[in-house]
Amino acid sequence: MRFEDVLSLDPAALRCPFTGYADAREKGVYFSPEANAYVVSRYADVSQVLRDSRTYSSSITTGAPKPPPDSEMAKYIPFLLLSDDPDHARRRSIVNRAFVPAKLAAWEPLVRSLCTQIVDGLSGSEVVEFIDAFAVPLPITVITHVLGVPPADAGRFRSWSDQLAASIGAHNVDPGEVLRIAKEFAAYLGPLLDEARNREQNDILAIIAAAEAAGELPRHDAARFVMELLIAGNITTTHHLSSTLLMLARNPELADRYRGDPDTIPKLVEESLRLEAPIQGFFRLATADGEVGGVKIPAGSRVMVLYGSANRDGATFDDPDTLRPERANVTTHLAFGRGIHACLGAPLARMESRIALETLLSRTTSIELAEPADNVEYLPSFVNRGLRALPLRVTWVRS
Amino acid sequence: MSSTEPVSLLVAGRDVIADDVVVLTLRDAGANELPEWTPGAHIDILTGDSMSRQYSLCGDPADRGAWRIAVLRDPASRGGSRFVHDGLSVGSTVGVRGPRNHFPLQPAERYLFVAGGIGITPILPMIAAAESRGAPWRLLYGGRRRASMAFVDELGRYGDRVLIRPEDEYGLLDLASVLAQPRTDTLVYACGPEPLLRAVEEHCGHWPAGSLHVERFTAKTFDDEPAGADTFEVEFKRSGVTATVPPDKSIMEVAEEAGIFVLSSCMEGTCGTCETTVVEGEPVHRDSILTPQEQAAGDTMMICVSRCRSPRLVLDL
Repeated sequence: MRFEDVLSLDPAALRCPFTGYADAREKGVYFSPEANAYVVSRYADVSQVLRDSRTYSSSITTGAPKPPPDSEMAKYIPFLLLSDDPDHARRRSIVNRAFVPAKLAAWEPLVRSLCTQIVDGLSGSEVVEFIDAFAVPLPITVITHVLGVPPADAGRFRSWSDQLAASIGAHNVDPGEVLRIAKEFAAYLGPLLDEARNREQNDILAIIAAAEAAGELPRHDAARFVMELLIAGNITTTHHLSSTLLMLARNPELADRYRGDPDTIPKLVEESLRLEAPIQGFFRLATADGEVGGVKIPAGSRVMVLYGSANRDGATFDDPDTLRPERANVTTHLAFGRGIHACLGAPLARMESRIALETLLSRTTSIELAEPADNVEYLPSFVNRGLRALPLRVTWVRS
Repeated sequence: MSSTEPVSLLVAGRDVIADDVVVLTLRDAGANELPEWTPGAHIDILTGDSMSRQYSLCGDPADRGAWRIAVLRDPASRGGSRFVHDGLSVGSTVGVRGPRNHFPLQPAERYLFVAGGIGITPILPMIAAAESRGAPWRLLYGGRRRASMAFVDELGRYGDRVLIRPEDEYGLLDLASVLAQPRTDTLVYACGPEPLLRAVEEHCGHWPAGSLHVERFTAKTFDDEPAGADTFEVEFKRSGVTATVPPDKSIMEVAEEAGIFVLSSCMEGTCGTCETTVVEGEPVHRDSILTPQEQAAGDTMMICVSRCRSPRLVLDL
């Protein structure tokens, strides 16, 4: 299989893009007309591009072309993801402190109680559609609390998030429709920002509203900032939880091992991130002539960095296609990217996955696929790796 | 942060605005927009002696075309202010890094600003921000003589919210009365010479923790910081492992080689994932997360980039 089969969104290639990635790594850095980009797939090369944010601009990270600066669309595109330093550093510094592990630890009791509540509600059901029942509600509810937006509106946030995320790594995207949804989302957030200005709590919405009040952010920037954090804070975590549960359902012995040794679940989370990165790749724009993996990349070129491939590079990970949570470099995967744009919410995602697995494994004695493994289908995106559905047959611990 | 690569800017304006105080207007030679900044931010001016000096931006953040700095000639100066005063004129180019902000204006209902001498510079844009936000504020501004105090005219438009208090007319600043009553809705921002800041800190002793924010003048920053580049020993206390960190490896890499499970993401001190508790030793911080106060306290460090000044570092890992 070629990597270009993945780009074509062929369902079989989306189910297992990894032979396509192996083919790309074999070739080294090369220009793919289908991607209209230089494809970078080896670990060392991907890491080099991500660390060199001066040469490789983030302005086209999602692959969509840069909108003209004075266009309406420019007011709704992601605020952090597509920015470069020094703007990026300034923008990120507004919220960065709130997302470090030491601060996020305060949310652990909430995450645990949400996991318990969801599982309590499911305990009567033998067959559970895991995505709708767990992988969607947990992260969207958590992020509404962390940001300080009404949890009661989680359903609307999820629907906007799904629609906007679906435009990434897809073909035939209608930019007018993307703009329409983003405007609707932003319009909804306006009154929330107004209200947050006078709030006592120091949640993220209040931090952003204060920056707006201090004249640091115009309203459209404040709104797209919140929008971006909401979207980033739920879609990827849903995908990661689902991929991890599929892994466990296919391998009952693995689930039993972690039931008996829950303290090592963080290593399983890391290994699952390595094998099934929720973001499989992103784009960069070369702002100057450069060279990656011995190949010259001219200024102005699009560059596609494949995290999902780097994570399975045998030069960095022994036996790369095998799940081995005990490997010494289990945390060095690129699922959260690397460099200045490394995922802001990584500590939150890691916490949610750890607590979700602790809860699910301790409250079940077996988790199996309710349908044959060959039937699993992925969303049509070469960026987002997300299952469409995951029906599980679960044996709950009797209370 | 990676805005460490210097850029060349054009000196587009140079005005003496008070005794020994010169204001420079800096622009991009190609008339490009300058990077965004927020009140409290500073830039590093490369002073041609492989050193740089930090100067607060004191113009309008909304003006992306120009930056303004005000520099006091320090008679004891051996490089920085003399370079700016004597070496730069309209049409000169100067190497600049930044901006960076170690003194950001946090949201609050009210503000009290205290400035001493050239310490007025970071306070000016803070006042404008408080003003545009509609937050009530006051400024207590001291200096040796009225003629030595920069921006007195510019501050005139704020009326009696600004107390101009030259020492030869009023004596030392009356901190006791403005800081007598601690308030929970007010943040205090102070910048000025060390004795003033110490006095402000004393008078804020009974204010709620976190009320007071100060910026100290830093004399000079070396371009490359040799401290901490050497080899040191690290003990990972919980794991019971001791190892050597050579100059070409990070603490993170050494931990990984020792089989210690440490989470990481950015590997360059921006994301905060690897924040680790320091049990013993003097860290040399190279991250862009911790505040200067937190860095000075040295309780935690980012082990992907930060190093150690003392020969031995003990970490809670």
